[in-house]
Amino acid sequence: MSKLDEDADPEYADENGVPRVPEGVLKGIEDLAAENTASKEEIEAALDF
Amino acid sequence: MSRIPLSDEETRFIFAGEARSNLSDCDPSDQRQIINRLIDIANRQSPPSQLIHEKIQNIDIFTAGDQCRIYTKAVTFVPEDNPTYHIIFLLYIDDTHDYENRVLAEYNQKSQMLLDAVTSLESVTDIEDYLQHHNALSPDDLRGLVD
Repeated sequence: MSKLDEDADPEYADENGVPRVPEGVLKGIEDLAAENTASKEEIEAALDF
Repeated sequence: MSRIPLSDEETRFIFAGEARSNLSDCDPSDQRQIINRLIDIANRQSPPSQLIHEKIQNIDIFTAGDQCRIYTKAVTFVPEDNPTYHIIFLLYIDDTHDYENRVLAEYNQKSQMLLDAVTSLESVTDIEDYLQHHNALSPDDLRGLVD
């Protein structure tokens, strides 16, 4: 087990030591793989202030 | 005493569609806080890698305020032969850091390898084209969003 694993919060790993992350993280990686990135205009449209 | 290297490189931000969607779901005050935090990261003289709050394998997590977590991959000092930029790929934004109510997924080796592959710039021959093609935002772009 790496130092980082030792320091990680318990909820970050399952009983086998495999890290767990919010599902959206994986979606974000898949988006990058599909070159689904947001433009400045799309970011601006997402903001409500 | 350890020294933190200073950085002249500029920082660019690439939002995955998911991160954009998460940002849209945040309260306006959190949205502003997140954008301001990204500007702050870009303004620092130290590279983004020095500002990471936590790592989960090859994922770099930045904080924004007490609750928000920004899941990223920070790629620094690129391109390798002429370091000009740091690039922060935003994957996911969690405005509450509320793990108990989040759907969690295994972050297995296959996912880790995919993240490394999609953020690798080894085969990139023109960094400016790459940034434009991936809708990279500059700190000025971000400042324009909050001004």
